[in-house]
Amino acid sequence: MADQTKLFGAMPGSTKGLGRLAFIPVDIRDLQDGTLAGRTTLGALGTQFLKGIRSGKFILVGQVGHTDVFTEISVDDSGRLDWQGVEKFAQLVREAGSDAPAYGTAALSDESEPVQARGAGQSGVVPQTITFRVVGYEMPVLGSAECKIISARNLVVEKNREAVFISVRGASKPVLLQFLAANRPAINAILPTGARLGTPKFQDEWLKLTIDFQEPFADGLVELRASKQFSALKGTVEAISDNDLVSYGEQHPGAAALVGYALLRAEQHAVVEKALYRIRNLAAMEPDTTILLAECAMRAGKAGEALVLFLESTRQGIPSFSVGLSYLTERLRLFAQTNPCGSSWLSAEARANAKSALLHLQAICMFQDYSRVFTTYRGISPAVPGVEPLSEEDLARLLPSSRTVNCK
Amino acid sequence: MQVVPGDTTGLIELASPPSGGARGLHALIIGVGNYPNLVRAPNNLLGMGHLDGPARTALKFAEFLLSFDTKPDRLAAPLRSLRLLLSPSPREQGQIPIPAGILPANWQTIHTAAVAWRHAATNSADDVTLFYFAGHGIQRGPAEGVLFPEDVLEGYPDDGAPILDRAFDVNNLYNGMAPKPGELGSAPETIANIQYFFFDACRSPLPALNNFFNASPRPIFNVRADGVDNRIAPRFFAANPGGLGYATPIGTTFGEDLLKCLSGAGADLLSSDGSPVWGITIDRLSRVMESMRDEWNATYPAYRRSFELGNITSTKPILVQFASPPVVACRFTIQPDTALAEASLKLVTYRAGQEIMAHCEGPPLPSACVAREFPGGTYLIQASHSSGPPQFQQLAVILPPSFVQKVIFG
Repeated sequence: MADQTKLFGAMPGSTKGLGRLAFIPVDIRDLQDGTLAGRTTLGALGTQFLKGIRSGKFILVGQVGHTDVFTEISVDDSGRLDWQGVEKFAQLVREAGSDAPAYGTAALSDESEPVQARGAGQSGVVPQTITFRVVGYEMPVLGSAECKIISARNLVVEKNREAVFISVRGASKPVLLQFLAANRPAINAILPTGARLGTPKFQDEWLKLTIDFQEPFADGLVELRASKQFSALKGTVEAISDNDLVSYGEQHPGAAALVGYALLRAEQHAVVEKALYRIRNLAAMEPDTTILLAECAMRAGKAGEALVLFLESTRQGIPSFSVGLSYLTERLRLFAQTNPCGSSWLSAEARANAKSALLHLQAICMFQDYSRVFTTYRGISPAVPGVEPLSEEDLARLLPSSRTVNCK
Repeated sequence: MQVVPGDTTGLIELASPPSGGARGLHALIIGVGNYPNLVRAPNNLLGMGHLDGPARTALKFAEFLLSFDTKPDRLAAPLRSLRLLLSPSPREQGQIPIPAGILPANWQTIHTAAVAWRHAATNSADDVTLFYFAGHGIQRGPAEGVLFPEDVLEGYPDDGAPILDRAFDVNNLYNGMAPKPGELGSAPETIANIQYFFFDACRSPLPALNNFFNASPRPIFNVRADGVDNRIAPRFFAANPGGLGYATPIGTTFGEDLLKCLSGAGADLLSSDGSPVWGITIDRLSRVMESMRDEWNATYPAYRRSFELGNITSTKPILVQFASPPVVACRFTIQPDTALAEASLKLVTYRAGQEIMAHCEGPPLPSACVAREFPGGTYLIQASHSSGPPQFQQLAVILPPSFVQKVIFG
């Protein structure tokens, strides 16, 4: 079995330091006829093993920008790759990456202009530095008006040349961070355990937030998702076993929930289910782990078990990741629309609970920023999503619990 | 293209449908550009209107599927039923050759066509379905897309109709195509196991929905929550949640990319029973669609496109199989350009173990960028100086849609 430290970012030999190039998709093709024998990512080649590939001679094919990179390679009877070939391929990818050509001309004729947007557009604004305040809350229970504030002393602000990062000292569970400025809508964001939220020092919107797990594998997945490289995302997670996920979850719980969702997306739910029942620190990833288990049950046709788990997750808080919010909302809507008369596993009470939870989730969804991997939505109170800008009075009320962040 | 006389489900006449119970592909294609209720006050304040492009692209998609009757390429399964609903925009009416008798794409016709399409797909688990919708769309939650037929907002707000009464839900459509569990111990329903869904619409939120309590579209299908869904059923979206789709006068950008891919640009060299075949898989299709999106965004940064692939299961099924290798636009950049005068370029390919000279050019080479088209496949690329031995040699697999190779002397 592959060494999990190799799978998750600490790549051996010359695949080290590849950065985002570690996530480029790599085709393994038959040397004789060029047919596709398998697909992986450059980072996963660091394991030196490939699943389901017969022994023989192959050609590795990667695309960096618009340049194709090829290297001949052999696989022995135990599935082990010729390591020199991997080294050479990584070197070629590095060279192509530092010299990636600009994209060519789009394959559109002049008559294709003008482009017609099928929705409202956006106007540009000059980037500038901003100052805001941040408040930390313990994870609010869905539908509860009570939100317990975390002491501002535990809010950690770090800066580098480009960005400012906010995290919560000693947080062993996901928390909610609220970003405030007078006359702006308050922004609420769920911070997964072990992660920090960042914002660029110069920005053209209120407020551009990013997530930083400070862990290369999860940060790579976030980047792949943000750039919508779904095939690479699938290729990256397919090599992960349940043992890998268990070890990873114990080291990086917040990031592990994200990996779990990526595995579900790649239909590897058996891996997720097996791993989650063995991870000891599930609470550090709730409610996302509960949602993951619920979705696994749903896909196995165990609707009653799934419903119980989905409802339990709503009592644990708001999902850290928007994909979790998607699963939860979609499934609760299905339960809320199902007639309990024809379903022995669905009681009228459970259906009512599903409907009630759905209403609270819908409120979040309406004010959610869909473009973020982590859950983020607007609302002066985390329990009452909305778009109203924060008044000077409300800001003054929250001041004692908040910490000022100056992006300069 | 001809509509089946008397049919009310959008069914198109097929020249040679598969016989009896043979496996087949069932397609439902919808293109909506005419939105009369979105352009009248006060609904015009919602910021949406008629669309040029969706009906044109949907018609092309239907023509593309029908064209397999006359060419050696093969669909995942022979086309067994094709349903087509079109509502061209006012500007497109008269410009697009809409076949006589085509039904408009309103809520009722979509409902009727979808129910018939689903019923047809229960012929066999070996069947394949394909759904394509182009038109307006919005997003209610992170994964809850809503699609707009021609009569969306009919009766709203004047007659008090619910705002999404004439709209339909992506998830209802998707989940409704899953096999239904068996009743009282009977076997689960049989339905096509491979299902392709293409949603060519925006996924941006509609702020007006925030004014309503639980606004929901009317369901098309009854969906069961307790079945095992083991379909291979990828969902391709023209936009990610919150994103916009675009159209040009020649069609929708996503739809046109999709058609290019299905016509060969998305083909991969695969192995089938030990023999090489050219075909389009879910994985390759998404990769090429991603690269086309990236290329668009680099060219038109003001109209930034997105793309999303959901429910990735097996990547193996082949949607289209080609009888011959697709033609690939290749570009060879020669460095340094001082070598051009005495440089030559050769491409050698292999068939049945035999070496075949596919191309030989120079000396001299005409420019530092040599652009040629070659059939996809494995080639040995060689570059020589004068008549000397090769100074550059690279084994390469040339795949569509394009291939770029840097050739460096010295």
